[in-house]
Amino acid sequence: MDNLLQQIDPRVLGQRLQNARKAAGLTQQQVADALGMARTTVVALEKGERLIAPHELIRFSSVCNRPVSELLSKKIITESFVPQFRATQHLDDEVERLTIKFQECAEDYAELESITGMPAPRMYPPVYETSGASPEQIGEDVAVAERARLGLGDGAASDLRDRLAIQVGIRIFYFEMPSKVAGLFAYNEPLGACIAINKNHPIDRQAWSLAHEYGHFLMSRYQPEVTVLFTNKRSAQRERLADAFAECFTMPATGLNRRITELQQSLPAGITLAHICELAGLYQVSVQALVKRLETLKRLPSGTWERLIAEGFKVRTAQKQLGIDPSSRQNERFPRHYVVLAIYAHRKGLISEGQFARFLRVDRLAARALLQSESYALHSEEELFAHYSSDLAQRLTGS
Amino acid sequence: MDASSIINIAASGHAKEIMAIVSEQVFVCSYVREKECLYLRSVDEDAVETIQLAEWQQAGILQDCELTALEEEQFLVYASQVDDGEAMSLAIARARGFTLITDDRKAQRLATSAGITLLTTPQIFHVWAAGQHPRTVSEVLRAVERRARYRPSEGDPLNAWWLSACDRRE
Repeated sequence: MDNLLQQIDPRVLGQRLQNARKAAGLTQQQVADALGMARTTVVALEKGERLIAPHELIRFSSVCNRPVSELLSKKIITESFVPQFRATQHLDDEVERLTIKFQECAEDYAELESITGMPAPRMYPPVYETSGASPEQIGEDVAVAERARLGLGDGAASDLRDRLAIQVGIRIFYFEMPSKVAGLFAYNEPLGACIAINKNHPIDRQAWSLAHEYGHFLMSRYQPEVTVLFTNKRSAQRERLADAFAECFTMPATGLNRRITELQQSLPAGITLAHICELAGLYQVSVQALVKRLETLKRLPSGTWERLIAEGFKVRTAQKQLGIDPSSRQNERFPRHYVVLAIYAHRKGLISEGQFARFLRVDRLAARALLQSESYALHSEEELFAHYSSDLAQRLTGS
Repeated sequence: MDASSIINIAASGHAKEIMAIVSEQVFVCSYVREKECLYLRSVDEDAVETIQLAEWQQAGILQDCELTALEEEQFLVYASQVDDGEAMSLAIARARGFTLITDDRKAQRLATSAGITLLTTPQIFHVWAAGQHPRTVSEVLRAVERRARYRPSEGDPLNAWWLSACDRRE
Protein backbone atom coordinates (compact mmCIF):
# COMPACT_ATOMS: atom_id res chain seq x y z
CA MET A 1 0.00 0.00 0.00
CA ASP A 2 1.41 3.38 -1.00
CA ASN A 3 1.45 6.00 1.68
CA LEU A 4 -1.55 8.21 0.96
CA LEU A 5 0.17 11.20 2.51
CA GLN A 6 2.93 11.03 -0.11
CA GLN A 7 0.31 11.46 -2.82
CA ILE A 8 -1.06 14.72 -1.43
CA ASP A 9 0.66 18.02 -2.15
CA PRO A 10 2.25 18.82 1.26
CA ARG A 11 1.57 22.54 0.78
CA VAL A 12 -2.13 21.87 0.28
CA LEU A 13 -2.28 19.59 3.30
CA GLY A 14 -0.21 22.10 5.29
CA GLN A 15 -2.70 24.84 4.45
CA ARG A 16 -5.56 22.65 5.62
CA LEU A 17 -3.72 21.90 8.86
CA GLN A 18 -3.21 25.59 9.42
CA ASN A 19 -6.86 26.36 8.72
CA ALA A 20 -7.95 23.58 11.10
CA ARG A 21 -5.68 24.95 13.82
CA LYS A 22 -6.87 28.53 13.35
CA ALA A 23 -10.51 27.46 13.22
CA ALA A 24 -9.95 25.77 16.57
CA GLY A 25 -8.47 29.00 17.92
CA LEU A 26 -5.13 27.39 18.73
CA THR A 27 -1.64 28.78 18.38
CA GLN A 28 1.21 26.83 16.79
CA GLN A 29 2.81 26.57 20.23
CA GLN A 30 -0.35 25.08 21.76
CA VAL A 31 -0.56 22.46 19.02
CA ALA A 32 3.17 21.74 19.32
CA ASP A 33 2.82 21.22 23.08
CA ALA A 34 -0.16 18.91 22.63
CA LEU A 35 1.69 16.87 20.02
CA GLY A 36 4.98 16.85 21.91
CA MET A 37 6.91 18.48 19.12
CA ALA A 38 8.76 21.75 18.62
CA ARG A 39 6.81 24.78 17.37
CA THR A 40 9.19 24.94 14.40
CA THR A 41 8.00 21.47 13.41
CA VAL A 42 4.38 22.67 13.37
CA VAL A 43 5.50 25.64 11.26
CA ALA A 44 7.23 23.27 8.84
CA LEU A 45 4.16 21.02 8.63
CA GLU A 46 1.86 23.95 7.91
CA LYS A 47 4.21 25.27 5.24
CA GLY A 48 4.41 21.83 3.66
CA GLU A 49 8.16 21.72 4.23
CA ARG A 50 7.98 18.53 6.26
CA LEU A 51 5.91 15.47 5.40
CA ILE A 52 3.47 14.61 8.16
CA ALA A 53 3.41 11.03 9.47
CA PRO A 54 0.09 9.15 9.76
CA HIS A 55 0.10 9.18 13.56
CA GLU A 56 0.94 12.89 13.59
CA LEU A 57 -1.95 13.69 11.28
CA ILE A 58 -4.37 11.70 13.43
CA ARG A 59 -3.16 13.47 16.57
CA PHE A 60 -3.14 16.89 14.88
CA SER A 61 -6.76 16.54 13.76
CA SER A 62 -7.77 15.30 17.20
CA VAL A 63 -6.13 18.27 18.92
CA CYS A 64 -7.91 20.64 16.51
CA ASN A 65 -11.15 18.68 16.92
CA ARG A 66 -11.34 18.08 13.20
CA PRO A 67 -12.09 14.76 11.49
CA VAL A 68 -9.11 13.40 9.57
CA SER A 69 -11.46 12.83 6.65
CA GLU A 70 -12.04 16.58 6.35
CA LEU A 71 -8.33 17.09 5.85
CA LEU A 72 -7.90 14.26 3.37
CA SER A 73 -11.11 13.91 1.40
CA LYS A 74 -11.30 17.23 -0.37
CA LYS A 75 -10.21 17.07 -3.97
CA ILE A 76 -10.86 20.72 -4.72
CA ILE A 77 -7.66 22.65 -4.20
CA THR A 78 -7.88 26.40 -3.71
CA GLU A 79 -5.66 29.06 -2.27
CA SER A 80 -6.64 30.15 1.22
CA PHE A 81 -9.06 33.08 1.34
CA VAL A 82 -7.26 34.49 4.39
CA PRO A 83 -4.29 36.13 2.61
CA GLN A 84 -6.65 37.46 -0.06
CA PHE A 85 -8.81 39.13 2.56
CA ARG A 86 -5.75 40.34 4.45
CA ALA A 87 -4.45 42.07 1.32
CA THR A 88 -7.40 44.48 1.41
CA GLN A 89 -8.36 44.83 5.06
CA HIS A 90 -7.41 44.00 8.62
CA LEU A 91 -8.78 40.70 9.95
CA ASP A 92 -9.02 40.01 13.65
CA ASP A 93 -8.95 36.38 14.83
CA GLU A 94 -12.73 36.13 14.92
CA VAL A 95 -13.14 37.37 11.35
CA GLU A 96 -10.24 35.22 10.17
CA ARG A 97 -12.05 32.12 11.50
CA LEU A 98 -15.12 33.33 9.68
CA THR A 99 -13.28 33.50 6.37
CA ILE A 100 -12.01 29.94 6.92
CA LYS A 101 -15.54 28.73 7.62
CA PHE A 102 -16.75 30.56 4.52
CA GLN A 103 -14.09 28.93 2.37
CA GLU A 104 -14.94 25.49 3.74
CA CYS A 105 -18.59 25.94 2.73
CA ALA A 106 -17.57 27.05 -0.76
CA GLU A 107 -15.10 24.17 -1.13
CA ASP A 108 -17.71 21.68 0.02
CA TYR A 109 -20.10 23.02 -2.61
CA ALA A 110 -17.48 22.60 -5.32
CA GLU A 111 -16.69 19.15 -3.93
CA LEU A 112 -20.32 18.07 -4.20
CA GLU A 113 -20.44 19.34 -7.78
CA SER A 114 -17.31 17.35 -8.52
CA ILE A 115 -18.59 14.16 -6.85
CA THR A 116 -21.92 14.29 -8.70
CA GLY A 117 -20.43 15.58 -11.95
CA MET A 118 -23.05 18.31 -11.95
CA PRO A 119 -21.43 21.72 -11.73
CA ALA A 120 -23.82 24.66 -11.58
CA PRO A 121 -23.61 26.82 -14.68
CA ARG A 122 -21.84 30.15 -14.23
CA MET A 123 -23.52 33.01 -16.03
CA TYR A 124 -21.32 35.82 -14.84
CA PRO A 125 -21.56 39.22 -16.49
CA PRO A 126 -18.28 41.05 -17.19
CA VAL A 127 -17.08 43.30 -14.37
CA TYR A 128 -18.86 46.65 -14.67
CA GLU A 129 -16.83 49.81 -15.27
CA THR A 130 -16.83 52.05 -12.21
CA SER A 131 -15.03 55.20 -13.27
CA GLY A 132 -16.24 58.49 -14.64
CA ALA A 133 -19.17 59.25 -12.36
CA SER A 134 -20.13 59.41 -8.71
CA PRO A 135 -20.53 56.09 -6.80
CA GLU A 136 -24.25 56.84 -6.46
CA GLN A 137 -24.69 57.33 -10.21
CA ILE A 138 -22.61 54.24 -11.06
CA GLY A 139 -24.53 52.16 -8.50
CA GLU A 140 -27.79 53.25 -10.07
CA ASP A 141 -26.57 52.53 -13.63
CA VAL A 142 -25.25 49.07 -12.71
CA ALA A 143 -28.46 48.23 -10.82
CA VAL A 144 -30.61 49.19 -13.81
CA ALA A 145 -28.41 47.20 -16.21
CA GLU A 146 -28.33 44.16 -13.96
CA ARG A 147 -32.09 44.19 -13.37
CA ALA A 148 -32.58 44.23 -17.13
CA ARG A 149 -30.09 41.38 -17.58
CA LEU A 150 -31.86 39.26 -14.97
CA GLY A 151 -35.31 40.11 -16.35
CA LEU A 152 -36.37 41.67 -13.07
CA GLY A 153 -38.11 44.70 -14.56
CA ASP A 154 -38.56 47.41 -11.94
CA GLY A 155 -40.59 45.46 -9.39
CA ALA A 156 -39.58 44.02 -6.05
CA ALA A 157 -36.70 41.55 -6.33
CA SER A 158 -38.26 38.66 -4.46
CA ASP A 159 -36.37 35.41 -3.84
CA LEU A 160 -33.08 37.15 -4.57
CA ARG A 161 -31.03 34.29 -3.20
CA ASP A 162 -32.56 31.77 -5.57
CA ARG A 163 -32.35 34.17 -8.49
CA LEU A 164 -28.66 34.85 -7.99
CA ALA A 165 -27.94 31.18 -7.44
CA ILE A 166 -29.85 29.98 -10.48
CA GLN A 167 -29.53 32.85 -12.92
CA VAL A 168 -25.95 33.84 -12.14
CA GLY A 169 -24.45 30.78 -10.44
CA ILE A 170 -23.37 32.39 -7.17
CA ARG A 171 -22.81 30.25 -4.09
CA ILE A 172 -24.70 31.90 -1.22
CA PHE A 173 -24.50 30.75 2.39
CA TYR A 174 -26.14 32.00 5.56
CA PHE A 175 -24.48 31.31 8.87
CA GLU A 176 -23.99 32.85 12.28
CA MET A 177 -21.41 35.63 12.40
CA PRO A 178 -20.41 38.27 14.95
CA SER A 179 -23.01 41.06 14.87
CA LYS A 180 -20.49 43.57 13.49
CA VAL A 181 -20.14 41.53 10.25
CA ALA A 182 -22.93 41.77 7.67
CA GLY A 183 -21.51 39.52 4.99
CA LEU A 184 -18.52 38.30 3.02
CA PHE A 185 -17.71 38.10 -0.65
CA ALA A 186 -14.89 36.20 -2.34
CA TYR A 187 -14.09 35.01 -5.81
CA ASN A 188 -11.50 32.68 -7.24
CA GLU A 189 -11.50 30.55 -10.35
CA PRO A 190 -12.02 27.07 -8.86
CA LEU A 191 -14.80 28.16 -6.49
CA GLY A 192 -16.39 30.97 -8.47
CA ALA A 193 -18.30 33.77 -6.77
CA CYS A 194 -19.19 33.10 -3.14
CA ILE A 195 -21.24 35.14 -0.70
CA ALA A 196 -21.97 34.55 2.98
CA ILE A 197 -24.57 36.50 4.93
CA ASN A 198 -24.95 36.92 8.68
CA LYS A 199 -27.88 34.69 9.65
CA ASN A 200 -28.21 36.46 13.00
CA HIS A 201 -29.20 39.74 11.38
CA PRO A 202 -32.84 40.69 10.74
CA ILE A 203 -34.17 39.26 7.51
CA ASP A 204 -34.48 42.66 5.82
CA ARG A 205 -30.90 43.44 6.76
CA GLN A 206 -29.86 40.09 5.26
CA ALA A 207 -31.56 40.99 1.96
CA TRP A 208 -29.69 44.30 1.87
CA SER A 209 -26.39 42.59 2.66
CA LEU A 210 -26.95 40.10 -0.15
CA ALA A 211 -27.52 42.89 -2.67
CA HIS A 212 -24.49 44.73 -1.27
CA GLU A 213 -22.21 41.70 -1.65
CA TYR A 214 -23.60 41.09 -5.11
CA GLY A 215 -22.58 44.65 -5.91
CA HIS A 216 -19.00 43.73 -4.97
CA PHE A 217 -19.18 40.78 -7.35
CA LEU A 218 -20.37 43.03 -10.19
CA MET A 219 -17.98 45.91 -9.67
CA SER A 220 -14.89 44.73 -7.77
CA ARG A 221 -14.91 40.98 -8.35
CA TYR A 222 -11.26 40.30 -7.66
CA GLN A 223 -11.16 42.04 -4.28
CA PRO A 224 -12.60 39.91 -1.47
CA GLU A 225 -14.64 41.79 1.07
CA VAL A 226 -15.74 41.47 4.66
CA THR A 227 -18.54 43.96 5.21
CA VAL A 228 -18.09 45.27 8.74
CA LEU A 229 -20.79 47.49 10.20
CA PHE A 230 -20.47 50.44 12.54
CA THR A 231 -16.96 51.41 11.48
CA ASN A 232 -16.11 55.03 11.98
CA LYS A 233 -13.79 55.10 9.00
CA ARG A 234 -15.01 56.87 5.93
CA SER A 235 -16.39 54.25 3.59
CA ALA A 236 -14.03 53.08 0.90
CA GLN A 237 -15.01 53.83 -2.68
CA ARG A 238 -16.03 50.25 -3.37
CA GLU A 239 -18.20 50.19 -0.24
CA ARG A 240 -20.02 53.31 -1.42
CA LEU A 241 -20.46 51.70 -4.83
CA ALA A 242 -21.85 48.51 -3.30
CA ASP A 243 -24.20 50.48 -1.03
CA ALA A 244 -25.46 52.59 -3.90
CA PHE A 245 -25.98 49.47 -5.98
CA ALA A 246 -27.84 47.70 -3.16
CA GLU A 247 -30.14 50.68 -2.66
CA CYS A 248 -31.01 50.98 -6.35
CA PHE A 249 -31.15 47.25 -7.00
CA THR A 250 -33.49 46.44 -4.11
CA MET A 251 -35.59 49.59 -4.57
CA PRO A 252 -35.52 50.59 -8.26
CA ALA A 253 -36.44 54.23 -8.80
CA THR A 254 -38.94 53.75 -11.64
CA GLY A 255 -40.92 50.98 -9.98
CA LEU A 256 -40.90 52.62 -6.58
CA ASN A 257 -41.94 56.00 -8.01
CA ARG A 258 -44.79 54.35 -9.89
CA ARG A 259 -46.02 52.56 -6.76
CA ILE A 260 -45.91 55.74 -4.69
CA THR A 261 -47.78 57.64 -7.39
CA GLU A 262 -50.43 54.89 -7.56
CA LEU A 263 -50.75 54.95 -3.78
CA GLN A 264 -51.12 58.74 -3.74
CA GLN A 265 -53.80 58.60 -6.42
CA SER A 266 -55.78 55.98 -4.55
CA LEU A 267 -55.32 57.62 -1.16
CA PRO A 268 -56.42 61.22 -1.32
CA ALA A 269 -55.75 61.59 2.40
CA GLY A 270 -52.12 60.70 1.82
CA ILE A 271 -49.76 57.79 2.34
CA THR A 272 -49.47 56.60 5.91
CA LEU A 273 -46.57 55.09 7.78
CA ALA A 274 -48.48 51.81 7.66
CA HIS A 275 -48.33 51.87 3.85
CA ILE A 276 -44.59 52.45 3.98
CA CYS A 277 -44.16 49.50 6.38
CA GLU A 278 -46.15 47.27 4.04
CA LEU A 279 -44.20 48.47 1.04
CA ALA A 280 -40.94 47.69 2.85
CA GLY A 281 -42.25 44.17 3.42
CA LEU A 282 -43.07 43.83 -0.26
CA TYR A 283 -39.58 44.95 -1.29
CA GLN A 284 -38.02 42.89 1.52
CA VAL A 285 -36.04 45.85 2.77
CA SER A 286 -35.98 47.56 6.13
CA VAL A 287 -38.41 50.41 6.79
CA GLN A 288 -35.42 52.65 7.38
CA ALA A 289 -33.89 51.80 4.00
CA LEU A 290 -37.17 52.45 2.22
CA VAL A 291 -37.82 55.77 3.94
CA LYS A 292 -34.25 56.89 3.17
CA ARG A 293 -34.68 55.83 -0.44
CA LEU A 294 -37.95 57.74 -0.75
CA GLU A 295 -36.24 60.76 0.72
CA THR A 296 -33.52 60.50 -1.95
CA LEU A 297 -36.20 60.17 -4.63
CA LYS A 298 -37.90 63.23 -3.10
CA ARG A 299 -41.11 61.32 -2.50
CA LEU A 300 -40.82 61.99 1.23
CA PRO A 301 -39.50 65.13 2.88
CA SER A 302 -35.82 65.06 3.76
CA GLY A 303 -35.29 64.13 7.42
CA THR A 304 -38.44 62.00 7.67
CA TRP A 305 -36.62 59.03 9.16
CA GLU A 306 -34.89 61.13 11.82
CA ARG A 307 -38.24 62.73 12.71
CA LEU A 308 -39.91 59.33 13.05
CA ILE A 309 -37.18 58.07 15.33
CA ALA A 310 -37.30 61.25 17.41
CA GLU A 311 -41.05 60.68 17.82
CA GLY A 312 -40.42 57.19 19.16
CA PHE A 313 -41.34 55.13 16.09
CA LYS A 314 -40.51 51.44 16.64
CA VAL A 315 -40.31 49.34 13.48
CA ARG A 316 -40.94 45.96 15.09
CA THR A 317 -43.94 47.28 17.06
CA ALA A 318 -45.44 48.75 13.89
CA GLN A 319 -44.84 45.51 11.97
CA LYS A 320 -46.50 43.53 14.75
CA GLN A 321 -49.58 45.77 14.65
CA LEU A 322 -49.76 45.32 10.88
CA GLY A 323 -49.34 41.58 11.05
CA ILE A 324 -46.00 41.71 9.23
CA ASP A 325 -43.59 39.09 10.53
CA PRO A 326 -40.20 39.35 8.84
CA SER A 327 -38.85 36.60 11.08
CA SER A 328 -41.27 34.11 9.49
CA ARG A 329 -38.95 33.99 6.50
CA GLN A 330 -35.87 31.91 7.22
CA ASN A 331 -32.74 31.62 5.18
CA GLU A 332 -31.29 28.13 5.32
CA ARG A 333 -27.57 27.77 5.84
CA PHE A 334 -26.96 26.11 2.49
CA PRO A 335 -28.53 26.84 -0.90
CA ARG A 336 -31.21 24.42 -2.00
CA HIS A 337 -29.02 23.21 -4.87
CA TYR A 338 -26.25 22.31 -2.41
CA VAL A 339 -28.65 20.18 -0.37
CA VAL A 340 -30.06 18.59 -3.52
CA LEU A 341 -26.56 17.64 -4.69
CA ALA A 342 -25.76 16.10 -1.30
CA ILE A 343 -28.98 14.07 -1.32
CA TYR A 344 -28.30 12.91 -4.85
CA ALA A 345 -24.74 11.90 -3.97
CA HIS A 346 -25.94 9.97 -0.94
CA ARG A 347 -28.74 8.20 -2.79
CA LYS A 348 -26.24 7.12 -5.44
CA GLY A 349 -23.88 5.82 -2.77
CA LEU A 350 -21.25 8.37 -3.80
CA ILE A 351 -20.95 9.66 -0.25
CA SER A 352 -21.51 7.85 3.02
CA GLU A 353 -24.05 8.79 5.66
CA GLY A 354 -21.27 10.28 7.77
CA GLN A 355 -20.08 12.40 4.85
CA PHE A 356 -23.64 13.46 4.08
CA ALA A 357 -24.10 14.62 7.67
CA ARG A 358 -20.79 16.48 7.53
CA PHE A 359 -21.68 18.26 4.29
CA LEU A 360 -24.92 19.43 5.90
CA ARG A 361 -23.26 20.21 9.28
CA VAL A 362 -25.81 18.11 11.15
CA ASP A 363 -25.82 14.88 13.14
CA ARG A 364 -26.83 11.61 11.52
CA LEU A 365 -30.40 11.63 12.76
CA ALA A 366 -30.95 15.15 11.43
CA ALA A 367 -29.33 14.05 8.18
CA ARG A 368 -31.80 11.18 7.89
CA ALA A 369 -34.66 13.60 8.60
CA LEU A 370 -33.48 15.75 5.74
CA LEU A 371 -33.39 12.74 3.42
CA GLN A 372 -37.01 12.04 4.34
CA SER A 373 -38.09 15.69 4.27
CA GLU A 374 -41.10 16.54 2.14
CA SER A 375 -39.18 19.54 0.84
CA TYR A 376 -36.76 17.18 -0.83
CA ALA A 377 -39.20 14.34 -1.54
CA LEU A 378 -38.16 13.88 -5.15
CA HIS A 379 -39.10 10.79 -7.02
CA SER A 380 -36.64 10.58 -9.87
CA GLU A 381 -33.30 11.94 -10.96
CA GLU A 382 -34.98 14.05 -13.61
CA GLU A 383 -37.23 15.59 -10.99
CA LEU A 384 -34.25 16.13 -8.75
CA PHE A 385 -32.84 18.72 -11.10
CA ALA A 386 -35.52 19.58 -13.65
CA HIS A 387 -37.15 22.35 -11.66
CA TYR A 388 -33.91 23.83 -10.56
CA SER A 389 -31.60 24.52 -13.43
CA SER A 390 -32.38 24.43 -17.11
CA ASP A 391 -28.88 23.20 -17.96
CA LEU A 392 -29.01 20.28 -15.57
CA ALA A 393 -32.55 19.43 -16.63
CA GLN A 394 -31.60 19.23 -20.29
CA ARG A 395 -28.78 16.85 -19.65
CA LEU A 396 -30.83 14.47 -17.52
CA THR A 397 -34.02 14.40 -19.55
CA GLY A 398 -32.07 14.04 -22.77
CA SER A 399 -30.50 10.70 -21.84
CA MET B 1 -20.08 -1.86 14.28
CA ASP B 2 -20.34 1.60 12.79
CA ALA B 3 -22.56 4.54 13.73
CA SER B 4 -25.28 3.97 11.12
CA SER B 5 -26.05 0.54 12.60
CA ILE B 6 -25.72 1.60 16.23
CA ILE B 7 -28.52 4.14 15.71
CA ASN B 8 -30.76 1.50 14.15
CA ILE B 9 -30.16 -1.12 16.81
CA ALA B 10 -30.60 1.46 19.58
CA ALA B 11 -33.96 2.54 18.13
CA SER B 12 -35.26 -1.01 18.48
CA GLY B 13 -35.33 -0.71 22.26
CA HIS B 14 -34.02 -4.32 22.43
CA ALA B 15 -30.34 -3.73 21.83
CA LYS B 16 -28.96 -6.24 24.32
CA GLU B 17 -31.24 -9.05 23.25
CA ILE B 18 -30.73 -8.41 19.55
CA MET B 19 -26.96 -7.96 19.72
CA ALA B 20 -26.61 -11.17 21.68
CA ILE B 21 -27.48 -13.15 18.59
CA VAL B 22 -24.75 -11.46 16.54
CA SER B 23 -21.65 -12.34 18.51
CA GLU B 24 -20.30 -12.45 22.00
CA GLN B 25 -17.95 -9.67 21.05
CA VAL B 26 -19.11 -6.62 19.18
CA PHE B 27 -16.67 -3.72 18.97
CA VAL B 28 -17.06 0.00 18.52
CA CYS B 29 -14.08 2.12 17.52
CA SER B 30 -12.88 5.10 19.54
CA TYR B 31 -14.00 7.76 17.05
CA VAL B 32 -17.62 6.58 17.04
CA ARG B 33 -17.56 6.21 20.79
CA GLU B 34 -16.01 9.58 21.56
CA LYS B 35 -16.75 11.94 18.69
CA GLU B 36 -19.95 10.91 16.95
CA CYS B 37 -23.16 12.60 18.10
CA LEU B 38 -25.58 9.70 18.12
CA TYR B 39 -29.21 10.60 18.64
CA LEU B 40 -32.62 9.01 18.42
CA ARG B 41 -36.04 10.59 18.26
CA SER B 42 -37.54 10.24 21.69
CA VAL B 43 -40.42 7.83 22.20
CA ASP B 44 -42.98 10.65 22.00
CA GLU B 45 -41.08 11.96 18.95
CA ASP B 46 -41.09 15.52 20.24
CA ALA B 47 -37.41 15.60 21.01
CA VAL B 48 -34.16 13.77 20.48
CA GLU B 49 -32.29 11.71 23.01
CA THR B 50 -28.64 10.76 23.12
CA ILE B 51 -27.64 7.14 22.68
CA GLN B 52 -25.66 6.28 25.78
CA LEU B 53 -22.88 4.05 24.47
CA ALA B 54 -21.33 3.92 27.93
CA GLU B 55 -24.44 2.06 29.10
CA TRP B 56 -24.09 -0.35 26.21
CA GLN B 57 -20.52 -1.01 27.25
CA GLN B 58 -21.50 -1.54 30.88
CA ALA B 59 -24.22 -3.92 29.73
CA GLY B 60 -21.67 -5.87 27.71
CA ILE B 61 -23.31 -5.08 24.37
CA LEU B 62 -20.28 -3.31 22.96
CA GLN B 63 -16.56 -3.37 23.64
CA ASP B 64 -14.01 -0.68 22.89
CA CYS B 65 -11.40 -1.03 20.23
CA GLU B 66 -8.58 1.32 19.32
CA LEU B 67 -6.76 1.86 16.10
CA THR B 68 -3.27 0.36 16.26
CA ALA B 69 -0.19 1.89 14.68
CA LEU B 70 -0.25 -0.76 11.98
CA GLU B 71 -3.80 0.20 11.04
CA GLU B 72 -3.19 3.95 10.80
CA GLU B 73 -2.17 4.06 7.15
CA GLN B 74 -5.19 2.00 6.11
CA PHE B 75 -7.39 4.29 8.19
CA LEU B 76 -6.06 7.31 6.29
CA VAL B 77 -6.80 5.63 2.96
CA TYR B 78 -10.41 5.07 4.02
CA ALA B 79 -10.64 8.53 5.61
CA SER B 80 -10.03 10.01 2.18
CA GLN B 81 -13.21 8.25 1.01
CA VAL B 82 -15.65 8.15 3.95
CA ASP B 83 -15.92 9.83 7.35
CA ASP B 84 -13.65 9.04 10.30
CA GLY B 85 -15.94 6.62 12.12
CA GLU B 86 -16.65 4.64 8.99
CA ALA B 87 -12.97 4.72 8.00
CA MET B 88 -11.79 3.52 11.40
CA SER B 89 -14.36 0.72 11.45
CA LEU B 90 -13.33 -0.38 7.95
CA ALA B 91 -9.60 -0.26 8.73
CA ILE B 92 -9.98 -2.28 11.91
CA ALA B 93 -12.31 -4.86 10.35
CA ARG B 94 -9.93 -5.30 7.44
CA ALA B 95 -6.78 -5.64 9.52
CA ARG B 96 -8.25 -7.99 12.11
CA GLY B 97 -10.51 -10.05 9.88
CA PHE B 98 -13.63 -8.83 11.70
CA THR B 99 -17.13 -8.77 10.27
CA LEU B 100 -18.28 -5.16 9.71
CA ILE B 101 -21.78 -4.19 10.76
CA THR B 102 -22.86 -1.20 8.72
CA ASP B 103 -25.96 0.08 6.95
CA ASP B 104 -24.11 2.58 4.85
CA ARG B 105 -23.98 1.82 1.14
CA LYS B 106 -20.61 3.39 0.47
CA ALA B 107 -18.99 1.69 3.45
CA GLN B 108 -20.54 -1.58 2.29
CA ARG B 109 -19.06 -1.12 -1.18
CA LEU B 110 -15.60 -0.40 0.20
CA ALA B 111 -15.85 -3.38 2.54
CA THR B 112 -16.91 -5.72 -0.23
CA SER B 113 -14.05 -4.64 -2.48
CA ALA B 114 -11.60 -5.28 0.40
CA GLY B 115 -13.02 -8.73 1.11
CA ILE B 116 -14.48 -7.72 4.48
CA THR B 117 -17.46 -9.79 5.61
CA LEU B 118 -20.56 -7.64 6.04
CA LEU B 119 -23.60 -7.68 8.24
CA THR B 120 -26.48 -5.21 8.13
CA THR B 121 -29.12 -4.40 10.72
CA PRO B 122 -31.93 -5.75 8.49
CA GLN B 123 -30.02 -9.06 8.46
CA ILE B 124 -29.66 -8.94 12.24
CA PHE B 125 -33.36 -8.11 12.74
CA HIS B 126 -34.28 -10.85 10.28
CA VAL B 127 -32.46 -13.50 12.32
CA TRP B 128 -33.79 -12.15 15.61
CA ALA B 129 -37.37 -12.02 14.26
CA ALA B 130 -37.44 -15.78 13.65
CA GLY B 131 -38.05 -16.46 17.32
CA GLN B 132 -40.43 -13.59 17.99
CA HIS B 133 -44.14 -12.96 17.84
CA PRO B 134 -45.01 -11.05 14.62
CA ARG B 135 -46.55 -8.23 16.64
CA THR B 136 -43.30 -7.75 18.57
CA VAL B 137 -41.31 -7.74 15.32
CA SER B 138 -43.69 -5.20 13.80
CA GLU B 139 -43.41 -2.93 16.83
CA VAL B 140 -39.62 -3.11 16.85
CA LEU B 141 -39.21 -2.42 13.13
CA ARG B 142 -41.69 0.43 13.31
CA ALA B 143 -39.76 1.87 16.24
CA VAL B 144 -36.60 1.75 14.11
CA GLU B 145 -38.38 3.53 11.27
CA ARG B 146 -39.77 6.16 13.61
CA ARG B 147 -36.96 6.77 16.03
CA ALA B 148 -33.94 6.17 13.78
CA ARG B 149 -35.66 7.31 10.58
CA TYR B 150 -34.36 4.15 8.93
CA ARG B 151 -35.85 1.70 6.48
CA PRO B 152 -33.79 -0.56 4.21
CA SER B 153 -33.48 0.82 0.70
CA GLU B 154 -35.57 -0.61 -2.13
CA GLY B 155 -32.45 -2.35 -3.41
CA ASP B 156 -31.88 -4.17 -0.12
CA PRO B 157 -32.69 -7.91 -0.39
CA LEU B 158 -34.59 -7.66 2.91
CA ASN B 159 -36.67 -4.63 1.95
CA ALA B 160 -39.75 -6.74 1.08
CA TRP B 161 -39.41 -8.77 4.29
CA TRP B 162 -39.07 -5.59 6.34
CA LEU B 163 -42.19 -3.97 4.87
CA SER B 164 -44.19 -7.16 5.28
CA ALA B 165 -43.00 -7.66 8.87
CA CYS B 166 -43.88 -4.07 9.73
CA ASP B 167 -47.45 -4.67 8.57
CA ARG B 168 -47.97 -7.96 10.43
CA ARG B 169 -49.57 -7.23 13.77
CA GLU B 170 -51.73 -10.32 14.39
